[in-house]
Parts: sequence; C-alpha cells; structure tokens
Amino acid sequence: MSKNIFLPLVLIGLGYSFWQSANFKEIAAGIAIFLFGMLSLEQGFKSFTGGMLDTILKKSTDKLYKSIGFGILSTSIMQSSSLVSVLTISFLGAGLLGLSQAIGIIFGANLGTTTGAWLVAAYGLKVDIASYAMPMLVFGIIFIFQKTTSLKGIGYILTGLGFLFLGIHYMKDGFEAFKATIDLSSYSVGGYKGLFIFSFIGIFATVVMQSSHATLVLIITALAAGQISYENALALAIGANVGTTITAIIGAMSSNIEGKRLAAAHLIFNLVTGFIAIIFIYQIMYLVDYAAIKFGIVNDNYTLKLAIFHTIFNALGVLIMIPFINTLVRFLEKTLTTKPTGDEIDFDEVKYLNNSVLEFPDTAMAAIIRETKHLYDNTFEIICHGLNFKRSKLVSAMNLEEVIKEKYARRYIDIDKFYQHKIKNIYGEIIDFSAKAQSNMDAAYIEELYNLKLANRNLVEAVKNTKHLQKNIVKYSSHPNEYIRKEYFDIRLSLASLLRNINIIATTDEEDVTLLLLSKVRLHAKKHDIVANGALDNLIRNRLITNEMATSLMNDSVYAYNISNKLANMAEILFIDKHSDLNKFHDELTIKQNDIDEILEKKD
Amino acid sequence: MGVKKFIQSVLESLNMKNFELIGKKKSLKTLLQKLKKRRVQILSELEFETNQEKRDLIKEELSLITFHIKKGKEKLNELKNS
Repeated sequence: MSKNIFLPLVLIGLGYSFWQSANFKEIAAGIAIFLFGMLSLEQGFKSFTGGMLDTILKKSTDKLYKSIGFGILSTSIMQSSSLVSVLTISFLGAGLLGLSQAIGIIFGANLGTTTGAWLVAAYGLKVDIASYAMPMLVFGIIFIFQKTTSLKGIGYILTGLGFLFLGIHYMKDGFEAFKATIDLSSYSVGGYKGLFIFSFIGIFATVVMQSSHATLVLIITALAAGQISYENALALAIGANVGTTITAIIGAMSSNIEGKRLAAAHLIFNLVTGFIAIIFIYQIMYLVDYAAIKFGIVNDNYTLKLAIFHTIFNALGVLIMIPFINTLVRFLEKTLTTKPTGDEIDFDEVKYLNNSVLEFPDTAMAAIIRETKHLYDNTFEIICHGLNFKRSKLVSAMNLEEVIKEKYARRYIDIDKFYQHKIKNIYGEIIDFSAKAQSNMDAAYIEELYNLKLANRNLVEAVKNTKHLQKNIVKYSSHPNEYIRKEYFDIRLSLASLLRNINIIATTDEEDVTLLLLSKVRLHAKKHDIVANGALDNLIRNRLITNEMATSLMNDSVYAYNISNKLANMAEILFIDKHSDLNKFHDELTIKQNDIDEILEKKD
Repeated sequence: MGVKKFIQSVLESLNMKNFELIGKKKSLKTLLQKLKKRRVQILSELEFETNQEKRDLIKEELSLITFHIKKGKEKLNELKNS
C-alpha cells in the first residue's frame, strides 16, 4: 500500500518543486541526464565484456595487488564503481573469482571512483564540457544504429559520456542560478554534529540516485557554486561512499551466498572507512592542505581539495583494511552460511546459478559449466557408492581388483534416494537457468549451451542406468554360481576402470591424455560388451548360467555399456577446454565406432 | 577503395591472408608433437613391462595413440594442401 502511494507522492512533490523553482528543475534535470548517461555508459561497457572475460579475469586477479589494480583501472575507465561491483558479484556468483579476489577488486573500485572526483573538479567545472557533449551524442547515436555489437558499444559509451557531460553542465548552471535566489550554505552545520548530519544526507542521496558518482558531481558543483560549506561537502562525500554499497547489496540479493558475503564485505569496508574519516576528519583535512600546497593548488580551490580528500580517505581505508582481508573472509564465511536441511542425506543445491550471473552471457555460461561439473561430482559419487566402491580408493593408484573388493558400505546405497537429493533438483535448475540465459545469447553460445544440456542429460542417464544395474549386482555378486559371479565382478571392474579414467580426464590438463583416455573408454565399452564379444553365447551354450541369469546379464551389459558411453559423451563436452588445440580437431581425431571395430579385429 | 577491399589488401601485404589456416596448422602440429611424445613414453613402458596382462593393456594404448597420430597427420596434410 505504502509503495503504491510513495511514487505518486514523489512525482507530485517533484512536479510542484519544478513549478516553484526553475533552478531546482534545472538541477534535477541535470541529475536525471547524468544518471541516464551512466546507464548508457554501463550498456556500452557490457558490450565489451564477452569472449575474453574469463582469461582476463584469471590473469589480472590472481594476486591481491592485481585485484586492487584491476578494480582501480576498471572503475577509472568505466567511471562507475556500481557497475564494477555488480560485475564482480556476477563473476563471483559464476565462480570465476574467489571471495578475497573479489574483495580486492571492490577495494580497488573504491579508489578508482576517486578519479571521477578529480576529472569533474579539475576539468568539468572549468572547461565548457557541454560543447563536447553535443558531438558525442550525435556520433554516439550514429554508432548505436550500426549492426556490429562493438560499434553499438562504442555508440553507447559516447552517448553515455555525452549525457554525463550535459548533466554536469545543467547541475552547474542550476546551482549558479540558485545562488541568486537561495543561499543553501546558510543551512550549513559545523562540528561533529554537522559531519554526521551531512554524512547521512550523502548516504540518502546516493541510495536514491544509486550512484556515488552522481552524488559526488552534485556535491562538487554545489561546492563550486558556494552553496555548501567545504566541511559539509566532505561529510557528504563520506556519506556517498557508504551509500554506494546499496547497489552491491541490491545486486547480491539475487546472488548466491558468495555474492552476499561480498556485499557485506563492501558495506563493512565502506563503513569502517567512513568512521575513520569522520573521527580523524581534522587530521585528514590537515593532510589535504599539506598535499594541496605540494601540488600547487590554491587554498580556496575547495573542489580540488575535495578530490584530494576523497582520494586520501579511500586510500587510507584500503591501507588499513588490506591486512584484515583474510580475517574478513573468515568472518564472513563463518557468519554468512547456508542453512543445513537436517535430512539424513543433505539436499544438495545449485552453487553457481543465480540471477546476478545472468547479466552477461560469459558469466552465465561459466556458471552453467561449473554447475554441470558440480552435477558430475555428485554423479561420480553416486555411481561409485552405488556400485559399492570407495571413491578415495578408486581415484588413487590402487589396483582396481583390490578397489572393488574393498566395500564402501555393508549394504548397497539407495540410488533413488541419492538421485532425489543430489541430482534431480540441480539438473532441473540447470535446465531452467539455461532457458533463461539463452534469451541473452548469440548463436555460438546457444550451440555451446545445447551441448552442455546434453552433457547434463548424459549424467542423469548414467545415474539411472546405474540404478537398474545395481539390483542384479547386489543379487549376483555373492551368488553360488561362480560364472555369473565372475561376470558381475567383471562388469564392476570395467566400470571401476571407466570411472578412474573419467576422473583422470576431469582433472588433467594434458590434451593427449584426454584424447587417449576418451578413446580407451570407448574401446573398453565395446570390448566388455558381452553380447558383442560372444561371451554370453558361450555361457548359454555350455549351460553355465540359467536363462534368467542370461537375460539379466544381457540387460545389465547394456546398462554398463550405456554408463560408459554416457560418461564418455559427457566428458567430451565438459572436460575438453573450448580454447584448446584438441577442441579444434576433436571431430577429426576422435575415435569412431568403425575404428574401434578395426582395432579390436586386429587384436583378435 | 571499400573497407573490405582495404582490409584484404592490408592482410595480403602483411602476409596474413591465411592467418586462420596458419593458426590451425600450428595448433595441430603442437597436438601431434604431444601425441608423439606420449607414444615414445608408451613404447618405453612396453619395453620394461614383463606382466603379460599389463603388456596387453599397453599395446592397446599404443594402437590407440598410433591411430590418433595417423589421423592427425592426415588432417595436417589436408590443411597443407588447402
């Protein structure tokens, strides 16, 4: 109800204010144009985030100083710490970044945002930037109408910058004209009381505008026009810094637990920095004066002094917080956790799929790949335990015959229950998420996504085949008939070998190993198919097993063959790096059914 | 001169006309080198293995890697002739 009333009230209030004061209208229009510019700028930079994102991120954030540098640079270029925050949450949600790396980027973004204050204070107010805005808007719009994505991106960036400049121009003009009618500086409050009041105003303004950059430009233009005192401007800047965390908090609401932790880290960092700045305000002001003299800035150039203040207090915050990053990560991991279900087998949930990664095709794809690997992990565990293998022994170098003799549990696990708890939900979410992500993707991505969906289906079908197979493994593994016992022992042995090879493929970086093992898996599937290799005929002909056993063995041989092929198909999609040399020639080099027959015939 | 024609002439003058093809050949050569190295490794394993069962498995690996090298060479020749 209150929500429904709030918007009309704001609109009526604004309309009345515009009618009362043309200058206020000009300032508000300036803010609106500025914010629209930021939206356009964000849209432009989003066009350039595809393709190399994963590689760039890995290389530029592997060390803390690099993460901070990445944050500074990206925010300085994009002129939006909010966009960098949302991007970081998206990367973190997709598993492309670790929490400490992401915190580093956020720290850097806080420093990077100070470049905006410098640009506006140094050039924005002195140069007639509106004259640059017009050609930018014209060229920008022409580029936006082009078909190429990169040209469209450039168009949005140019238009965004044009609108930013135009917005600053209107704000500046509005405050200049305001000076003649109302003197806002008469409302200035001194001392710590003023600091707290104006900090809260800064927070409020930034929460409303969703941009600390816009608040800062508003503060600088008001300060240049003498509408606010220098001290109050500093407090507003501190408030803007705290208020900007709201964007990250909103972004994290649709993110996973990692995104929420990052938003909390951002809030803690900016709150601590803000408190330090308020407590040591006079010492920092002294430092600002000292730096201003060193840079040759005149004493009454308050806009540039505000830019210096903004840089100093953000740099101080980063310096103070750097030694505590690991403590902060540990604290957040301890306090912000997912709730356990209390079930006998925990219901496993998706780890990487959340709305925040849907922002960019790259992050959405990365999240789906990681989630499919998560599903693979669960599948591997279920098949291992379903066939009564100890997973740790299976992936070790232990002799496989010994592995299958050493049982995982006295009783075979209930695969159906594990399927319901660890597969079904995740599989469903991946398919649902893929459908959402697809609407934002081009043809190449959609093809990759289609293959990933196939990989997921292969995993699910491998589990289902294991479930069918398990019934007779339980029945015949300890059967008095030694022939049927041996056949089921061989099926388990061949599946153990398959799982070990698949695990090596999943963990190796060696392309030749991947290629060789994939062929080996396919060859073994055919070799151990007792219907094809004649072993079943031999058992029946010599009356070594009953008809019932023969039927079971024939069906189970198909299940084992299916498990091998499904897992091999999945591994080809999931574990061959799309940037690798192997991926380029996979179709030509991969082993086909007739090649397998040829190799097996030669052996015979 | 149109943009496409201009780009084409720049690529030709920089000898980058078959850039994609050259990249493909290079990738395949790298992969073939790795496979050949692995083959040498498998051959030396076979030399020292005395257990017949294990020897059979190594021989199987050898036939697979030989198959991949053969396929790789065929593709490389195809690329060279194109």
